[in-house]
Amino acid sequence: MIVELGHFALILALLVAVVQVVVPAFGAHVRDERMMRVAEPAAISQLLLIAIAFFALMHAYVTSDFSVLNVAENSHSTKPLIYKMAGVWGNHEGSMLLWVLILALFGAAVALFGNNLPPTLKARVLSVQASIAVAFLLFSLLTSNPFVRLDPAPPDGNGLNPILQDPALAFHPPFLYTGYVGFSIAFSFAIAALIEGRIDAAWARWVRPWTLAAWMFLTIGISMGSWWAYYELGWGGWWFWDPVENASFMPWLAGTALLHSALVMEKREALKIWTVLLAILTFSLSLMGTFIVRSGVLTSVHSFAVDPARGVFILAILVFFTGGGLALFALRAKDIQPGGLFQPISREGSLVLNNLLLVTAAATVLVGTLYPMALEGLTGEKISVGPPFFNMTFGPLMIPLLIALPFGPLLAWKRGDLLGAMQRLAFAFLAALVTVVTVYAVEHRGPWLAPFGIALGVYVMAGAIIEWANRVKLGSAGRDEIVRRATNLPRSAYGTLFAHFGVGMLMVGIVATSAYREEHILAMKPGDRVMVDGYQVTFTKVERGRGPNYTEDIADFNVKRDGETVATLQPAKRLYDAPPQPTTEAGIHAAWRGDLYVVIGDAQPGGGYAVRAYFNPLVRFIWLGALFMFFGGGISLSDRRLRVGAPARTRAAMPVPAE
Amino acid sequence: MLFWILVALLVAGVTLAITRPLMRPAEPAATNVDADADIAVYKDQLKEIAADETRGTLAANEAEGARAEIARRLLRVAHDKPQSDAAPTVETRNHFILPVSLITSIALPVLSLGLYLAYGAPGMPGQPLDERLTEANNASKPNDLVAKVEQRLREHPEDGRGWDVIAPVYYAMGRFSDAATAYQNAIHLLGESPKRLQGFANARIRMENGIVPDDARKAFQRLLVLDPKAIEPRIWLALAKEQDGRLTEAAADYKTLLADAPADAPWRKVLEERLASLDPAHAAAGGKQADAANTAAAPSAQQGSAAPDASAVMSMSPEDRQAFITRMVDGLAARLKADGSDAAGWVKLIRAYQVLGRRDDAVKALSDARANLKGNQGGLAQVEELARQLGLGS
Repeated sequence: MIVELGHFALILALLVAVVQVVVPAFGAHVRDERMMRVAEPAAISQLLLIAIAFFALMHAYVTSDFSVLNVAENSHSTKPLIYKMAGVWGNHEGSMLLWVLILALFGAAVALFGNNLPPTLKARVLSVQASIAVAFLLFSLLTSNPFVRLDPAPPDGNGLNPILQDPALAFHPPFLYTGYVGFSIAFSFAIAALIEGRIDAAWARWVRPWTLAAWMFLTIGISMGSWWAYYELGWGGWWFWDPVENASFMPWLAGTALLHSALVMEKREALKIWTVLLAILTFSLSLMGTFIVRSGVLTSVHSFAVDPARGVFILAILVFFTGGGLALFALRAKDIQPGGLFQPISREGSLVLNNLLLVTAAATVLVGTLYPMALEGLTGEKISVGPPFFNMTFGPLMIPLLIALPFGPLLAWKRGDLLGAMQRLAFAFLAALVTVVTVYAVEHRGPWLAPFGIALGVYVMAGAIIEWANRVKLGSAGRDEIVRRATNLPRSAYGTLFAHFGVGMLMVGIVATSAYREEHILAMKPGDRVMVDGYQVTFTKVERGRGPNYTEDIADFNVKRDGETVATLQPAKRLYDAPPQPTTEAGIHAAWRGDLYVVIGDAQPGGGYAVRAYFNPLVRFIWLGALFMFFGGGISLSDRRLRVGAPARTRAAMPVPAE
Repeated sequence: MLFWILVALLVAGVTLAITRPLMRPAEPAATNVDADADIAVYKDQLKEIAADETRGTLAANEAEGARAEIARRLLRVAHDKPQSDAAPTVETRNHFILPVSLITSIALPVLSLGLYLAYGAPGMPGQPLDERLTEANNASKPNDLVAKVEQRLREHPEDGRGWDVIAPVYYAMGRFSDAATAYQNAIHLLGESPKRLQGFANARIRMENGIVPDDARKAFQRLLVLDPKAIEPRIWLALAKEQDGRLTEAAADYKTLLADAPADAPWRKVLEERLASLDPAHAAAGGKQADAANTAAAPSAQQGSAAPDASAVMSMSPEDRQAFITRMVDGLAARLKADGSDAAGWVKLIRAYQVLGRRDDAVKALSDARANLKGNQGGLAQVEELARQLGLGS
């Protein structure tokens, strides 16, 4: 009964979404406040209905109701509870349901918290948002219905791909989708504003918090995926330029650009046309990502051709929203009044540079992702573009971006003082120089450019701190004055500090681990030892173990450093019961200077085992950097400035400290 | 019943919530609300500039410039205001309210119920596994019973009787891999018996799509030790020789078996067919019908008169052999094109393409097989298993 209720709720949600498209838009057109107001209860009902559907499916998973085809195909009765729950989005149909749930969540959030928006804009935003929901609900119900029933029910399900049975991966999709789908709000705002024909600084202010929230979740979602790949795939790598990764990375790059251009638009009303275009493009890239991942083109162009219903449907959605958005943009862009003027050397100028580089970077990733697919589709030839392509195209774009990054916040609006900024950055240059010398002194191997890459990261980190120090007058004011300034600084300033600092850490981690990783691939017998970057790793034994739904060979490695045992690593090879698939579990000893990473492979003839041992220097900086970016976004989001612009009564009630 | 009450509540609640704003009396034109929101933003921005200035993070002249800019925005919003006052009067707007509310409150319940009845499975109860397991004692649905035995075996994997019971059920369900494991466990726990060995070997052969794998051969050999009179193991072992390419030995074995066989034995025909495919001369003498695969081999039978040896194919020149094999494979492909429901045939075809190095054809055959076998879960699983083995992507 609960399953059927979920199915019904999903159908009703589709109809509610249709009402939400039509009535508020019409109300906004004829300026009827009552019809516009329909958008709010509609958005909230839509969320409730999709939530009913979602939790009905989750209930079916948790109780192993194999009379639901989706559960029978993707779950198994012995799976631990957490993976039964995560199994809901571990498959195509369920993940589309999660997609629309998050879409509805954002719509309802605008309905509930968008009190500061002009009523017509709000009605139009919710109407556009609902049109996206209509498209995806139709997609779900017509081609990917998760509520198809099976009678008689099979005795057990097929199980979830074991490689996905992992905590980081279980919770990675919700974050990732929140990011992806969150950009739909920016898109809806852009389309609503184009329909309305009124785009001004206030618009940017309303869009920014939503963009920021989406960006935060996408950041954490991508880094969780990378973290998972690092310890689960067993190759010690953390990023593979795989189409699935690229699919989430492209909207991230465009979204980062959007975040910065919206800042210019809010402050100076400049870059209006560009920002609106970027909002449309960012969400289009999200849709493209959904298409790449969900249509089946990825696994093989051939299998896509065999069952084209889904792929063609998403392609149609992609073409409709991207094409429609761009057409509307072309129609209306000429009416947009140009905004404030600025010199090339200025805060605006630096943000334009940031945008150009980020968008170009997104374009290179797009080419690198789509070209192999297009080639395979047209000629049947399978090529893989891989890291060399991206290192040669994407890498060089990041260097000027990172060099310019610390300058941006130090330049004034309209007309900046480059020389002054360089003087203030003197400490950062010095830090970079010291880094280059130190790295050369310590590491004699690795590419000659690597120390410069690490120095670039250090420079960005130092630059972020200098900007903050500058604002609180560190070094020139008294202690009380500094504390007063530091506490009074707007939270968005701290957001910038953390996020930019995180970018620097990320850079340091990436270069250090790529250039200086140590790798040993060998056959070891119990009792054998190997030295890995100062660690003495002794293979002690292998034991058989049994988990809830797998058997495993657990190896035991004793790790000594300077004669003292620092860790015991237990990498394992698992064989899952259903479906019977092997996975590797890496043994990782994490320290500040880097990770010791040991993976056990197949048994060799003669009693040995294949063992891979890595030392990945400073690899944690990659995810720590991403975490800093996430928290930076969070701090910014909590800034009063991004929330207000509210009608008079709420504004009066809000305390305004030290202003 | 409860289900329909919940559905009714859901529809009624949602419809009411959505149409509620439409039911309220119209407010007098509140048209400058839009502008108010803009003004609120700009006023906030002015305050922020003042705050930045006191903090010292913004120079006085910059602050002045920014203020002037925001002031201009404020003026523009104020200037635009009268435009938006040109809204329709309350009366004209009221024209739309009634039709909109009516359509919404009728369409929502009618369409949602209609679509649900068309696509849903109303009245079908949920079947959580726990309930099915407790019910399995009374109602004996085979799937539920299997689930129950499986549950028990997970807790007591040492229960040999359980494995013995479930193995043939798995086999009948087409779950050959599970069947093989179950027989193996039963053999391990309860010892060898002809039935178990036979079952294990059959399951393994089905897993390999008719190829007799090593462990199945060993099982048959053990079976012959236990029961020297058994015929089936001998047939399979002969077949295994044929599959190894030891065609003369296989033909000899077939002949011995035929000689021993009673005239009315049901497996005589199979043996004759196998022999015919190996030995065209014998086929001509026996005058037996060759099966579909052998029809494709007819050209070689003509050649065969010049080379009547059973290993005709093996002794052909490499070119001829290649041509012969190609004809066989193409014949199979043509047959599957006409009737694509034969999963084993698809498996054979894909494997053949792969062996011949025609990978593109293999990939194509794989996708054709998927298209043709849609709805045949067991067959599809076989094909997918093969695709995975051969690394044909998926």
